[in-house]
Amino acid sequence: MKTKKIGVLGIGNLLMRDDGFGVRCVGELTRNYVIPDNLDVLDGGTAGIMLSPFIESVEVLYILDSVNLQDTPGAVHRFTDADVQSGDIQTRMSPHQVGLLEILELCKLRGKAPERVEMITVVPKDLTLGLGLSSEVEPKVDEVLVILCDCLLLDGFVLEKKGNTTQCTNSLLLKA
Amino acid sequence: MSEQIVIDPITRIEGHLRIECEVDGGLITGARSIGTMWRGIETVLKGRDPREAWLIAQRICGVCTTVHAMASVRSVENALDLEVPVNAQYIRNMIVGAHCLADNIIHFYILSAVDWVDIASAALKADPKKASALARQLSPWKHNSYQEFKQTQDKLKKLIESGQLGPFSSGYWGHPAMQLDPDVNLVAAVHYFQALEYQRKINKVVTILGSKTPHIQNLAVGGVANPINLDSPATLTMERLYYIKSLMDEVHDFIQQVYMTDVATIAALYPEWCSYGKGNGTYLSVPEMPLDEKGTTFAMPGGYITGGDLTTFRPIKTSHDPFFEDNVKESVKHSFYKGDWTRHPYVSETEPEYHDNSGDKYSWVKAPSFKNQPAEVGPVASVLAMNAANYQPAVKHTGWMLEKIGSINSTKQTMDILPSTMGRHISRAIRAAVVQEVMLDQWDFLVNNIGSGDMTTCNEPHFPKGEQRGVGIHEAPRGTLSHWIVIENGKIRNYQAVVPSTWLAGPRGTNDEPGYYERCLVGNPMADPEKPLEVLRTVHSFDPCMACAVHMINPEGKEFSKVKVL
Repeated sequence: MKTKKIGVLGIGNLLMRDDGFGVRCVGELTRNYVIPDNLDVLDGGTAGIMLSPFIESVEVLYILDSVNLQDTPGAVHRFTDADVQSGDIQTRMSPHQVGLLEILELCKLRGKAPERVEMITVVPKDLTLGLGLSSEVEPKVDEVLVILCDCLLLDGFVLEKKGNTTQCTNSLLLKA
Repeated sequence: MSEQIVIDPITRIEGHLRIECEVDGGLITGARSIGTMWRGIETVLKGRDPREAWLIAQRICGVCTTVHAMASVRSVENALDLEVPVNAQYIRNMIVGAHCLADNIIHFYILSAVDWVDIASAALKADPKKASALARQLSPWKHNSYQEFKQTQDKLKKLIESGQLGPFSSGYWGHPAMQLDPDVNLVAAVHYFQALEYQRKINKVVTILGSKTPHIQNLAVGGVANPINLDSPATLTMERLYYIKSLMDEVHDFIQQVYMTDVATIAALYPEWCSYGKGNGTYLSVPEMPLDEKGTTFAMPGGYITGGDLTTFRPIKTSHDPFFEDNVKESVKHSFYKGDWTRHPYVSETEPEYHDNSGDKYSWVKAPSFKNQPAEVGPVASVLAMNAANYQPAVKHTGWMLEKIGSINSTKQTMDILPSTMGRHISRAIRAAVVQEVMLDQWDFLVNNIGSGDMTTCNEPHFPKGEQRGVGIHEAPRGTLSHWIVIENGKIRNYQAVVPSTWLAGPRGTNDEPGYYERCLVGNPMADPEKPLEVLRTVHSFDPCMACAVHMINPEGKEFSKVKVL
């Protein structure tokens, strides 16, 4: 079966503890799973507009991130394509900042947006400066990866764990 | 009667900056620049291995990741007096150049053009035939056809009719300070979309050489981790090098025929903004693009200028030049840190102590100084220094730009317009043209050096017992960046990053002299305090990046900039 080109994008700042959740997730994903062809995984950091080439290169996009919802820290939420498109999620912050959703708008204007965008998120506990996730959020990395694998299954990808976990060379992506 | 306005936050990216202005009789009479977030990377790095500092430091900022990586490795190399193979210098220089061009293009078109260009006017009032003809008259650029202009206008019309303005939703459309003719607005709008394509092309150079973007992975203290083997497909081969060259060539045309031309056009049509936003005439830049192992010769000069007088130029010659190393200090007199000191970064501390901001201390940003004076860093400083040093690529592109502006608005232009709100955009474009040229040189140097049989890309660092101190200098797109490291027995004892936005957005310093934004806003006009477009123009001209945002998405509040008139 021919699969679509899928992108998994982890975003956040590793130096702000739980804000780096999405980046930790993609680190664990590439470390522990065999990544098939046609699935692109990117640690996007907080790169804003510079992420547009990646976003425009995929047909389906999964975004892993932390989102500040009125919910208990560590709670995992899923936003379907309809949620993302509804405009109910808004980037906070700057007067004209180029946030993730504005980048999606720009990609759309260029006629190059993915046909479907979904988000899997966690509610952060600790956003202070430092490396490593809080104890509430840390166990959610595996949980989110399981959800992601389920989503990818529907897209025709069976993700298999690596037989031998290879050494991750980037110490930042490991548990601090 | 004077009134106070507050804009919070003000940056389009990574925003943690708040500006408070006093306005009297339509003019800004006083300003306070307030960094609203603590940046304490220093505390994370203490006790770590200096070889991994760059991996962490490049996470300081989401946008200028490579610059912090670069300054960080250079600081350790500087402390150890470690030589860097020339192949590594050339590869790093190409990354530095490519990142700079991507950053400059994004800054002008995506982050600041909407301060000057009215997208609604472009969509609804412009004539695509006339606009396209105008663009072709201004530049030989191949993508200025009527079809291209018509398509973009249709796209914008549709967007405006849909009522969801997306990336343009917060522009001040119809503001009285928006003065461009609808056709000029459309020219800029067309190039806005093309800019996205070209920033992507040039960023590919960073990806190929750096293995990944954002956050390059190919650096190492002592060089780069790119193996060079012209026969192996897994390494840096001639094929890849030629691909990089083709990307650089494509972007060359965009820089010269589109970016330079658009900046000249907009500058020519907003002449009054070439006098607003002036600083105090003190400029600091450092040399960039090292050409030898020891960092003693550089392609692009940098140095110190006082009183706005180019004859006072004092070059900073090497990466060890004590003139730079000895004269940088940071003050916390008005910043939320313990104490009231002014210290050298090697012995500077980062111990937060928050008060409400009603007192003397009002910002999380420290106030840096050079020879006990605040200084403007950034493209104006760099372009003035390169001209003072009579560096030919800079002299050539500066001359071209001034002539172009003069030919559009029938005036005679001199370098006096550079230190201003618009002059910062002008200087950034000039510098981009220089960087583009220098980057192509680096490619030639690399290929020639490999051709001579030298494949070395890294020298291994050794950490002796005892203490070493070093500074890593980098002339980043936003200006002079320096990372200061103190190593003790192979571990980091102190680390300070003095970043461009600290020089510019800092609060009052040791002698209560205003910070740079604070100074440059005074005297700016303000047509409508509810829509303080003029403040955004001046502050955005510096390309503020209040590094290291929490980029959190909040589904509850659609909270954008708060403009409060008090």
